[in-house]
Amino acid sequence: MKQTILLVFLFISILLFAQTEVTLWHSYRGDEKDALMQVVDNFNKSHTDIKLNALGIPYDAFPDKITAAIPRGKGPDIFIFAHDRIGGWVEADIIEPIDFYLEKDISGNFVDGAWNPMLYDGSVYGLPMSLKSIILFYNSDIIKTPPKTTDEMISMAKKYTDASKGKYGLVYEIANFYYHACWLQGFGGKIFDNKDIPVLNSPENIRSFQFAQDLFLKEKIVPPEVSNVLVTTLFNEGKAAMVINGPWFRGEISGVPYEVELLPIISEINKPAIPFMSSEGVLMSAKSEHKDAAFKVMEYLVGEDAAFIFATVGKQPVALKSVYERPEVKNDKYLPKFKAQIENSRPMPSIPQMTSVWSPASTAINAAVNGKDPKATLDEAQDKVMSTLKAAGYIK
Amino acid sequence: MKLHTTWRLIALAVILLLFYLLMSKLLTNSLHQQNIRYTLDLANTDIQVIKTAYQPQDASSYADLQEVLKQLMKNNPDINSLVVVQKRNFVAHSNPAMIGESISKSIFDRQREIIKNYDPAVENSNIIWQPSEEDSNSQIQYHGFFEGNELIGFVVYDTKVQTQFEVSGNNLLLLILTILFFILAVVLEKIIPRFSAYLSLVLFVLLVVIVDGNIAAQMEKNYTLWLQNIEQYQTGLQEHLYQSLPLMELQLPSWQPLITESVQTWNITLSILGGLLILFILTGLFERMLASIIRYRMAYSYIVPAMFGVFLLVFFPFVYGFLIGFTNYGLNDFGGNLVSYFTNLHNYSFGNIIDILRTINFTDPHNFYYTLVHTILWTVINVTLHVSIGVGLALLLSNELLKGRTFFRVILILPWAIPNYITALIWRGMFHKQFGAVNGFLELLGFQPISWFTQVHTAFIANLATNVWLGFPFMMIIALGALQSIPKELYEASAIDGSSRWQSFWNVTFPLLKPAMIPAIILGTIWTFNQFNVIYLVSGGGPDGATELLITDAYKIAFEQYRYGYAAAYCIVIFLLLFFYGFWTNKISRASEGVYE
Repeated sequence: MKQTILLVFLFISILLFAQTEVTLWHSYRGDEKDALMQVVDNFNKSHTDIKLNALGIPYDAFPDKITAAIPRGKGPDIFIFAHDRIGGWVEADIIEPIDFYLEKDISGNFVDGAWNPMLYDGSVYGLPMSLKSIILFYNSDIIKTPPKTTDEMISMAKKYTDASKGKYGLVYEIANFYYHACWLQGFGGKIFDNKDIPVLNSPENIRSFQFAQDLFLKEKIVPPEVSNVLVTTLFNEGKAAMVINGPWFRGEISGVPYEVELLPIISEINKPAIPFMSSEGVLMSAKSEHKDAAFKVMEYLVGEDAAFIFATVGKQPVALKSVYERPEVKNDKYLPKFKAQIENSRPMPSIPQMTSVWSPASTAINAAVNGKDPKATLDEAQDKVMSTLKAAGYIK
Repeated sequence: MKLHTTWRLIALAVILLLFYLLMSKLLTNSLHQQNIRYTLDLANTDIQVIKTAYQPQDASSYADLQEVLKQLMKNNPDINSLVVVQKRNFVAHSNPAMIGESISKSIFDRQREIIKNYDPAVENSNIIWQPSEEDSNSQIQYHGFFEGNELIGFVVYDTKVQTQFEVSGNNLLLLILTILFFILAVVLEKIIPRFSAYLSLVLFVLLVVIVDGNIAAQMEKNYTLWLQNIEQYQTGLQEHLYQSLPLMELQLPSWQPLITESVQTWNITLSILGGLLILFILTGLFERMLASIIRYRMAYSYIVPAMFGVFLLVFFPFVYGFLIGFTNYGLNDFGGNLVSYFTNLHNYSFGNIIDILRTINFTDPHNFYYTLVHTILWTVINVTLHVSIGVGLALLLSNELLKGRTFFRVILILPWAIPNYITALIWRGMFHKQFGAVNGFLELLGFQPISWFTQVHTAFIANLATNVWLGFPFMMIIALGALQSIPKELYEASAIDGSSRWQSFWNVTFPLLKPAMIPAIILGTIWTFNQFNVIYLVSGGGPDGATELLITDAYKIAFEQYRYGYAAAYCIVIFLLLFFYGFWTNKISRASEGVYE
């Protein structure tokens, strides 16, 4: 009997103190996860009416899980992901436009280029949290002054390269289209034209492919078959002078003094390399049942307190401008550089057609680097993308 | 135990009734997917656009919106209708490229609430559209078109107006027909017991024809009713909303052909499924199943959880995958009801499979036939090597003169015991051009390093080496077990008969190994045919898809190109290939059974 009464009391107390629960999905690990957990704790301490639960999902499975779970009402209320899938998610009614919740234009609070990727068809779908683009890392024991141009970079790298000892001047995933995009866009190339028709075999793109082929075959400063793991291994063993990688690479470096520098100016045309930028934002599920509470959380996540933790604990190049004024961030060796590189980058296309480009484009750059004619590989990739897009009904 | 015919017929009637109820429900649901949309081109109307700068002070109540509306009405006494279209994307001004193309997706619930609750207590009060009671389940959405800040038109959507369109009207008729059918069958059973089953079948076919006809007629009727509703609705909208204004365009989904097609598809499906059901009952299969369930109810109750699991994890995904193989289910098609994919534009029927099989080209790596030949070659070479190495090692290990047999056995089983994706990743590392062990060894011997993954044949060899390493221990274990079960007397007898070692292998060992090895080979073939991990992790299908297997190709179609329907069709083809292979080998293995007989 006593137990029953206790249970009833327990039940009543649960009812009385019921909070709105907001679920957040993320794919953070390491420092970034620690920062997020700290932010979640702070939020839960300062908000009694909302309970924020953060759930980590492995990155590889993340988009597919979102696409599968949300339409069935099983997904999170909000989630953190890069902007490049927004287009497809809008078309599939998976994410909710949030401009109705925004009370004033806050786009000016963020670093240049952070806000626009969050838009699709003129509506706002997310609030930017951090910005990620690749940058030049260098081993400061080997290289004292970082290269300003590609010619400098190549000559420095050549000096250091000694293939027989497994030492290389420049190590990056040369056959990965994501990394290659910095040269492609630097040469003035594009993936889609203004009407969203793919233009993979444009002359600029071909030139950039030739450039990558020369780095590997002619200058021989990049090791063969570079994978993610190889980049980390060589750099940590002190066998790589320079590495092109994103901010996430910082968590993988151990025991090597390093600094970062903006990607060099391409000597051939005297213009800087322009990498892909992904704006990582917090997005709202269209099927969320607590949209008001969810929006409150979203606002908190991009607020100054949270952003400061993401910058200092999570080592993230955050999107909020005012954080860069704080002395802890301003005097940081790396974050201002990342910010400068972001301001000289281009957002990854967020239109759904982009998903059909990755695989053929990666095949093409791989073939070109290994000696196939750049024009032929790009013509092939263009045909393949066109036929996929035609089959999917994007192009008539 | 034989069930009484009356019970048989009752069961039949009940099952058929449930079957029809379910089917008509599914069909009804599937036809509720279309939206109606009205487009209004402002240029051709006398709608006057009043622009008001409005910035919500309090986004949660929008109380000030009402004030703004009141003020607006006061300032423009001559207006008689007012539609509020908020340019939602005010922040998008920061992006000049977007202006002019921006089509707002939907107006939010809260804003709709405001408009609904707004009761303009001003003098000229037929001002705003207020949804009446009948519209309570309609979902009106406005889409405003802007050019810069200029409102140039808007679309009114109603997403739920077609709820009046139902197919459920025939349920009563169905019930009456089923009861009639049941009575008739019972009467028949009394008069001519022997032929009652066949007569019931005839009756059933008649029932299907009548009910299908009824469904079709009912749908036609509902469709006409629905159209009338739309017209009424349109007039209502005009009265309420635009008053004297013409609706420039009314886009009605072209439903007539779709409905006819759906009914046809449904007739055929119903007849086939119903026919199967009736055969299932009339041939006594159902009875026997029921009888065995009743008789062994204890045993069945034990396996129910397992059966449930199998149904959920194996049978359901299989059927689902099979079904989406006939649609063009793609990246953005989540959330729909599966039946709807068959009753509207998604239906591809055999389109995917025809697409896959149509072009025959043995040199293009992206062609199905190239991949098929590659997969078969891959399977044959692999299994041959697995079996020869496995049996060879088993023969060595079964030799009793060999010392440390247990040790070698453990060592040789290791490749099989390590998770194969780990092995595959290690092998990939070993084939690295610069840092890999294989090239290091070749260089030691004075050869040039090989770039393994840039040519088709070297990539194939790398894959092959990995998979042979992974595959032989299984064959070895099977062969070892079989060898140990061969009685020694047979060897003694053959030795007495004066046979050589080769003869005793060929005439004793080989025939006794065969019954154990053939199932293992069949299994190994299917595993190797679908060896996803090795290909995906070692060569990654490269260069340019030339070492892709059918299964990795299907994966890439599904998860890199997001063409789920096409990928499912691909898997149907793979399944059929393996199914017939299994059928064929079953015959062979049966032929090889019974060496002792």
